[in-house]
Amino acid sequence: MDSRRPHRNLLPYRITLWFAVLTYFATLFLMASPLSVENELPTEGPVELERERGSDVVVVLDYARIKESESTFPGRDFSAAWINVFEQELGPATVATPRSLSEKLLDSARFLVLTSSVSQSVPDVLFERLRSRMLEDGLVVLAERPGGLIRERYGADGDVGVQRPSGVTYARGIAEPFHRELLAMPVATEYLGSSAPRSKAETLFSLDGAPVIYSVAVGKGRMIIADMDIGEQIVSLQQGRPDDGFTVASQGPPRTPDLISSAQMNGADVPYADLFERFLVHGVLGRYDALPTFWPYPAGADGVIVATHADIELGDGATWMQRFEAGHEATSTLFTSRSSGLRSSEAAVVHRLGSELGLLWHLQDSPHEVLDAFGLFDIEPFARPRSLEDQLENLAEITATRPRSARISGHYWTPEWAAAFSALASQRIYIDSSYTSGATSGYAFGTGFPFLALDSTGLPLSIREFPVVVPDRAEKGPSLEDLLTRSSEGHHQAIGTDVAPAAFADHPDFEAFEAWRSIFELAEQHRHPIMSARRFDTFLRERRASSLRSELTRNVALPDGSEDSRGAMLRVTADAARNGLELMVPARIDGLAISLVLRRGTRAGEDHAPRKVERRDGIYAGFEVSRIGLDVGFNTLDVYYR
Amino acid sequence: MARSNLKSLLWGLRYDFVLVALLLVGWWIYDAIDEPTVRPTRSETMEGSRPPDRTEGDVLVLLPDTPAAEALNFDEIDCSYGWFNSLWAYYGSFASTLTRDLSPEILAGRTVVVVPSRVAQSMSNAGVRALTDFVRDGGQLILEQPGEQWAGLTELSTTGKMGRAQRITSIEGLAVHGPMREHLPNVPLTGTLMPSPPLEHYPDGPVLIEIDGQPGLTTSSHGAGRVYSLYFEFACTLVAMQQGLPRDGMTFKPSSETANVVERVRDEKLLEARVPYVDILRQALFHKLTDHRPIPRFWTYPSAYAGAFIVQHPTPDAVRPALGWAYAAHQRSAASTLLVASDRFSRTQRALAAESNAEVGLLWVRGIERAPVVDSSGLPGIGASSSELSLSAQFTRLNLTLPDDEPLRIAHVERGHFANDWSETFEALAAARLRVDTSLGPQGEGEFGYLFGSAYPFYPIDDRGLPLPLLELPFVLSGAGVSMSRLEDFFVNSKAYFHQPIVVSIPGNAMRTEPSADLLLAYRDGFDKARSHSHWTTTVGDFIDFVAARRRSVMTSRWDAEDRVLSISINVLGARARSLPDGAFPGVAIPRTWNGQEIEEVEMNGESVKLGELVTTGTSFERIISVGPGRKTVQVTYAAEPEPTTP
Repeated sequence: MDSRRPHRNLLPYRITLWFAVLTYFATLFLMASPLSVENELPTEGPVELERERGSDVVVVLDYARIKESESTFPGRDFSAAWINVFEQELGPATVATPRSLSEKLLDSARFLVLTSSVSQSVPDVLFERLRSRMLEDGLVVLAERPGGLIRERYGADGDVGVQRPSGVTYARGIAEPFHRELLAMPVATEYLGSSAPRSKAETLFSLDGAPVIYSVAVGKGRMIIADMDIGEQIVSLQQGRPDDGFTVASQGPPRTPDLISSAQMNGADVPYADLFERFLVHGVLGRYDALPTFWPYPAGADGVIVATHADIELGDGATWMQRFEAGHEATSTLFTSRSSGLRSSEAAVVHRLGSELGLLWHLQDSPHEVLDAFGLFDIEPFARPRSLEDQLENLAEITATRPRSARISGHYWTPEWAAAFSALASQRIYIDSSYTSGATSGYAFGTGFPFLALDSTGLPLSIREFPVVVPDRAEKGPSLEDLLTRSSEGHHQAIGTDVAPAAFADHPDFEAFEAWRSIFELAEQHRHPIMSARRFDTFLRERRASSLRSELTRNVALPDGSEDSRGAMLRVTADAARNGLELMVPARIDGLAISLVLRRGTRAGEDHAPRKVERRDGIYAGFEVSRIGLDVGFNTLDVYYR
Repeated sequence: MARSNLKSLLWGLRYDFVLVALLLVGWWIYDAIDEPTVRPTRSETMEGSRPPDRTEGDVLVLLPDTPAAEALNFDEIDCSYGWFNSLWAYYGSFASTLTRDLSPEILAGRTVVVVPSRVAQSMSNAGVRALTDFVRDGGQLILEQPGEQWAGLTELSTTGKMGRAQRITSIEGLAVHGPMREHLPNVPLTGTLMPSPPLEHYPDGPVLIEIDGQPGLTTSSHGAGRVYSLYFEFACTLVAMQQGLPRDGMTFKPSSETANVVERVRDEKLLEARVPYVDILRQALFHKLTDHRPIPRFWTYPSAYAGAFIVQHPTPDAVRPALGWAYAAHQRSAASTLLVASDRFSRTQRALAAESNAEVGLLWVRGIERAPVVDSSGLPGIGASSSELSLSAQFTRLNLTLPDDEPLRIAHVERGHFANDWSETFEALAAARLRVDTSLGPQGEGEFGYLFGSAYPFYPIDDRGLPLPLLELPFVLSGAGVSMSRLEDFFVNSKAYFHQPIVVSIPGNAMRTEPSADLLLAYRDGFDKARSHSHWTTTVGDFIDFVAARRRSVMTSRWDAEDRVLSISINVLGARARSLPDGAFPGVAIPRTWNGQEIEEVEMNGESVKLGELVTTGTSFERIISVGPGRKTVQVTYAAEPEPTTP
């Protein structure tokens, strides 16, 4: 047979040959550019927080109502934001639901907050109980956007309906310059307008000239009505504002600066969210009865600097700043990952220095995602983003203990408003520090203080956000020195800083180095100790785990020997869960100033004779306060006002 | 039938196979372009050669008439040029000659003659006689390992079996104090020890230094002069510290092409040495010579500076960080030396470096820590294969980016990766027309200090004992090992005693590879600290120009013992230095005292010099006169011994 004669049927052989060739080249191509496979982010359901810590304040919220609220950002019930308000300002707060609100709780409360999730329909029995406690015991009740009997008896008519305000026009009892600053606060919520103010009501706060927070005397007590969505206002400022469907509006992959609620917040040197919260606690509730709180910083500090660093390239070398900080009795959090090149020996050094290692999370679908190729044997034509779990496990292998803090690399964010928080919380990460304003320093999220994150159902997640106030290589905004000055003069903030250890890698910028070094001097000068996010979080946890009860007695004889010397006495019982806690009490009550603070012995074997205690007076967000040091354990203090 | 079917099938698919083959060829080309193969290269080397002799100088060294045979291990190395290095570093101006040219005429007017070990062993009887006469007439003779033919001069027997010098066991005879007393016994000795019977310490006996319980250095009077006999290999001890000690033949580690410079270090304790043992040992000998008569020398730094401070930045990759360092140095009124890879440096970067007054040297990329420097070959634009560039080609490439009036002369070997050979890397650097190398120094964490016995430059010698036309300038601190506390430590000790050029090597990318706050702080304050400790803040180039000018300068002296007058004739040549706009001229160092009496008067060119203007060295052993350029005569008169008081 002539071999040059064409084979009768070549097609099957030709197809086989070209299929093999195609497969070979396709495999080569895919190995060079693997096909990306989606990875689901882990999620965690929110928690229905209830707290029964001994506290003067009881916050009542109804999680079922919150969940049932409209699933848009403006329609969502953010009553859970009140937890934040009191945990930040007070320390311990009792959080109750309609089911857990017992007689005992009601009787023990000196202040009761009915959040909008419960104030719409307060049962008659409860209303009467509250009324009687206001009349007889001087209970102070704050009702947010109330309905039913509360509105009928104590609220303005609300006839004008829901209004979108242009700004704050009035705030009572807050000193300058904090008053002026509060009037400049961006408003991100609506209020209920009335045709006329409630008669005999004292206006505390107005939007566009309309009273939205006002109070009415009820016997010895007070009923305070808030005709605005305080929860939405605080959440918008702190956690940022997505679109109505909880999607972060952005050009390109979303980043945390896209969450900033108002352009006015960019570069703000005023922590508007905290200023408003402090006004609510000390200017609204504290106006009608003395409300002692735990000072939010370690004893002697006027604030703190939460120092953070992030590294993707230096590996072991990234700890050089922490080594230097240790020489200045400072600690910090280094967000890093195993892929940066960090080794366990260096991780152990960080641990020994008292600093912290957190995860620098390479968020999937962001430009910083890390792809892992996979396939069969050495043929790996597919790739999937490295999951959060894997990244954490990889880091945990070198840190010995599982990291508790995280930051998203490049400050990217998930398109869904709270999905990143939910994913981190599901991995038992308690601290996130991804929030930043980009290249501008300032309180872009209304605070430097860590706040509890809420998910899109309005319920809290078990994670707190530590926003960065002074980002790495900030080009605009207030300087750290200005922020520290303002903080020590009254705003008393936690100022989050971020300095990249690699900032000097490609250019030994001595100006930047000196600027970083000056932080230590400034911090000392302004009494702001520098600490890691975890160290500050631990302090705050123990502050929250403490208890604080008080009772104000008016017209008592003062212990100064003279018979006709009378005034008021605030007895405070505090169980401090740690050393270094301070008590903060109002410097004045009913026009009387503190004359004496006595500590009573409470421990076995201790001298029970009261002894005089030193105090430190100061300004806290526009309110005169005094700070008194506490011992660990039980403390009973009598604060006399004359 | 089946076979025929297969053939027919293959024939039918012939075009398909051709197409598949074309595709595979295309892929192979693409792959080759993507990852071209690199052909390694070997850089040319050159042998050492005898530097030109100089006839002027108080001190004369006799050098071997012929080079030694190629050494197969360190014991076979001829260290005669170790003496050359010592005299060059200590005196600056000295004479040298071949032994065969030794004559009474060439010895006339000399103060000291040095006879290295190899010369001493082969010295003719006529030579011994001439030197004996020289000593008898008042000269001083240094004999290294003198054999029996020198017994008439040394008056000591050296018969017996050669041993190995282990350690200095006593320095009582030197009667030294302070750091010399503390550190001299720690000098690591190398080589053989000539046997000698135990003798008394000086002044009761001749022993100045005792080694392993026997005389190591002795002194004896002969006529009007003195003889110093070294029983150990003084020069090889210094050479082993400066250039390294090979462990395996002439290599530093088995079965390896390369050996890091740290593997050359003579002794493990030198890895953290705060003391320059080479200089300590030199001083122990040369200071002793002034007991006989004051001997002047050119001071090792311009004017009366106590030392020098030099910062270099080896930069294998991106140049930007190095330019940042250079700018920072410039802001502190100082300059630094950038050592850059030839394939990473552009004319624009050169202009930026010039703005910061920085000088540029070559970082010899050996393809170990980073990809080699290559020259692509193949079709234009398609580098399917490439050749590694030799040192000489890297030199040429970088030189093209530099201005004509700033030719390339400084080199640094990529992270100290030398060839695993005694002198191959030095030979390659010299062959590439480079004049200074700055690669010897600490490389790793925990290493710092005088790893090579001294920070003062030296001429490396090849395996036949001949010096290469290349200076090696070691550094003492590098990378994360640089801190202000360490720098201060070095400055303080340098000013107080050691008088060293403190060279610091900070890789351009140090803040990426080994970042440290201490490093930034040291850089910020180091220049000012150097100035406050009277150190000259300069660059590698300026410093090397200065030492070259110092060597070209001439100094001779006469001593009138009766009138206690030291007359010095000098012709001082200086160097242009960007770090010293008025020029860098060596000062003249003279012993502070003679027979315990201070200097009474100093005249320069007949004009009196205020004694208050003379700077005293850290050890108080010498005083320095700043002389400026040109021919000068200096006359130093020492005070007379006080008359004994009569009761």
